[in-house]
Amino acid sequence: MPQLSFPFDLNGMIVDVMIAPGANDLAALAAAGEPWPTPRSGKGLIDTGTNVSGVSLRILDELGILPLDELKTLGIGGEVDVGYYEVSLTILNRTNGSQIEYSPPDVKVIGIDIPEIDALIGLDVLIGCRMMLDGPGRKFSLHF
Amino acid sequence: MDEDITELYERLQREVADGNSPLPRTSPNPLPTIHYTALKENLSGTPLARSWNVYIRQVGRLLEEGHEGKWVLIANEEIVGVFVDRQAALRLAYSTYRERSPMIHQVSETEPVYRLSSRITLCRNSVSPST
Repeated sequence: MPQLSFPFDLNGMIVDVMIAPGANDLAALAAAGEPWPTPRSGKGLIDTGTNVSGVSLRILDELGILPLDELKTLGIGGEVDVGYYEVSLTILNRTNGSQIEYSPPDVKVIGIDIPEIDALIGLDVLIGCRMMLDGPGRKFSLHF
Repeated sequence: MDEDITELYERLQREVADGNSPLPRTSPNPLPTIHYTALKENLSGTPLARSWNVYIRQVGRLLEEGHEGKWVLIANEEIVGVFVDRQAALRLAYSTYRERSPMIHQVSETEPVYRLSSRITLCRNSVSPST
């Protein structure tokens, strides 16, 4: 079973991510005669407190995809409707040179604005894999 | 404890590697939902909010006409089409309605409600507080 392992500390569980438009958006862009944008790389933060993942608004804007629908969400601010996007979100580890990637089916994401974080990885993505957290060892791994 | 955390971690890794899940596989709990009759108009004024309000006003009729499960494309605050699959609506949205605030939504009697982490800082242009 493939796995990705990462170190972690109190700053959170950080992974490398690659983000691209979802397959449906790519097909629609092609049909409209528009070029496909280059996938964007960045840092993702694991957050089991959300069941909808997020991608930075900067990256979503660079990818040129549209928020074509809203999600009803419940958070600290109460019930809010949030525009969402469909993206391809791949988790990988660039530091160890591994070719292993975890790429779930395209996911709905909302736009986020968190300093130094390009993606928030929620339960909607994690539900497709097993996550092991070794606190004393300061490491965690994703098995899929 | 019979095994320390390192041994436990290594055992779990071995079991997972062998394909023997240490935990029973269960279906995820469905998200809580809200019935369409309880949906509220969104007065934030964003393009998506205005399209959402069009949907709320029309969803009862769409359901009565048997469109549940289909995808509705709304642009310029009008329903411009109902589609069996989302991709057809998406192609039209990108090719024809890209500059006209398109919204694509699946017609449904209920809407799922997602939970947001406290880490998420929502930007004004992406958020529409429900009324």
